[in-house]
Amino acid sequence: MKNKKIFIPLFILVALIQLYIPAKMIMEQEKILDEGQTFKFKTQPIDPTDPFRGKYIVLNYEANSVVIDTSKQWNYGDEIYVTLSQNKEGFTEPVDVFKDKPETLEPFIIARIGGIHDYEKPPTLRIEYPFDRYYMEESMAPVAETVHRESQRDSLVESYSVIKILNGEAVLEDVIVGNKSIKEIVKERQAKSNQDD
Amino acid sequence: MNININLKELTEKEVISDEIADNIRNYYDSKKPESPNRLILAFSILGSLLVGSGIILIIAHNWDEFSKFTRTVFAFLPLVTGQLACLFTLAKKPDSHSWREASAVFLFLSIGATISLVSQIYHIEGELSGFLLIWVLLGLPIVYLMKSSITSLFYIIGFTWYACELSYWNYPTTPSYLYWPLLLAIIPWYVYLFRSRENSNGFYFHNWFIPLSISICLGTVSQRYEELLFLSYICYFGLIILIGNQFKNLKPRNNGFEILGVIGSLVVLYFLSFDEFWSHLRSENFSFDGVSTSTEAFTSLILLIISAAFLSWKIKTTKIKELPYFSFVFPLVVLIYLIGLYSPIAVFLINILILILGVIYVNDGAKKDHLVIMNFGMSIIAFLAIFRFFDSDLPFYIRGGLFVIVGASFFAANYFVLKRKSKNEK
Repeated sequence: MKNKKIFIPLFILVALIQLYIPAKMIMEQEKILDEGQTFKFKTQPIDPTDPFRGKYIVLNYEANSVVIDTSKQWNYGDEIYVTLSQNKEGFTEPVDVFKDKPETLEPFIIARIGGIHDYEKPPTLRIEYPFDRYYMEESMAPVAETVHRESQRDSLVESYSVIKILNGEAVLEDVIVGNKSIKEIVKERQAKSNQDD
Repeated sequence: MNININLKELTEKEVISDEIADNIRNYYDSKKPESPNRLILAFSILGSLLVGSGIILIIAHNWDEFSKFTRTVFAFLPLVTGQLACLFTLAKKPDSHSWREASAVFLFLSIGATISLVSQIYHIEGELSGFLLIWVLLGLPIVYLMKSSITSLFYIIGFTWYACELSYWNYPTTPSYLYWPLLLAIIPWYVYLFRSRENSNGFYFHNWFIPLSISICLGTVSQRYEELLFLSYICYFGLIILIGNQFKNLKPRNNGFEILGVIGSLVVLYFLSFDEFWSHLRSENFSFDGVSTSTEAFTSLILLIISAAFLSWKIKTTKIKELPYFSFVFPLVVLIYLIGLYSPIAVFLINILILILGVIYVNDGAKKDHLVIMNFGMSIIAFLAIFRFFDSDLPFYIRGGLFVIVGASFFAANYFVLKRKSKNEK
């Protein structure tokens, strides 16, 4: 009986912490989606499976490298700050990378170093963006991948990710192929193939 | 066994007195295992596991047709269900082993399910290692509050996986210093199991899981001087042999400490029995500054001090004969290692050491007419022979001949022991 008295309040406390952590994740993401600036990143897709998190398509980004100053030490996998700007077509491109938070008014994101090509002239650094997975329903992911690949081959159809950014933190909101969300396109395809059957 | 009805009949018929009947009842009551029906326990844990894993799979489907809000509510559903089940258990069924284990396992799994679903809804990247870390940290209190062994095993698997992700499988690798506090956090639970449930399966499983987890993750301390890891490992295996030796009433199959310690020591010994390692060691110009401050040297030294102190205490308090032969391997290997930094004789010494160990066990088994011990000794020698064939330039027919001799000696030794055994039995 004595145990009951201690254990139940303790358990309730632990349960609240267990609820708080995922809730906090949600709130952080929602805040970025609500208040963040919108950026379009042009993409290039495979479909691996994460054992815990279902199916997703992997997005590769066109503008993913910047020229670096090799006098500084850059290591694969390190966290970096990337400042961003928009090009003429309205797509986002990286401008510069920093090891510490940059003192600029330019928008920036926190990313990782995906590779260093210091043998190139000029030497460049490949950015690994923190938004290269787009989760979809498992039956949709392979179709989405096909849609995406076709759009890449057909240079008239552009595909890009819609990213919200707030204080360096980024959230992937949608993947657009042509002028529609990839989810819509996949749903249309599935409906069409069901009719054909 | 319905002994009460029989006792009642016997006392009514005055075959036995009431006092004797009470004594018999008390005797059988004391013999009853404390744990409830093990089958129910096993099925409730299995049920929980299946339902929990099922939920994870259902969640992995992704359910795009639902709105974000609906999916978010769904994300919390398993977690809240698990929490309510645990609360119900604490309030209404605090003494039911099956309820405690099943609800705790379910809650543990649902933590992972909820975090996964949230990351899926928001396409959160996140490294697997970070996800596992949050999962085990949120799950740890469940072990203590629900007194659940299975959850504790999951926790051990979780933080072991986390350390492997960080230090072995991810590039660039980083040492997982957090592994050690995470391991320490479960030790009080293990001590509790040892004190209060020494004969439970939960305790036996922990005897395998804990030393195995450390065996896997000890290598994560390595940064630049992998050569020194052999020292850390041999001292560690010596230590767990000594720890295993403390459990006097355990059957060998439940004493993972001792078995893993012996197997691990042998693996290290066979590794060191190849000359490549030693010639590499002598060619490495270790700068003392670098080595003395390396994590590998520090880990080796700490483990050596602990194991050596433990061994000398054991020698003082018990008869040397009662200690397993393998508990003396680590100081010898450390000594040979120091010699090996300067002299090519080390590889020869290691081979001799393995051979002596084999002979001791063969001899021991033959003396005691114990086939398992004898064959274990024979296997040590046989493996040594096999490994030496790899790095010798002997022609095939000689290698073949040696194999035949090793095999034949297995048969001969077993035959003589069995023959003697049957003679003694007659």
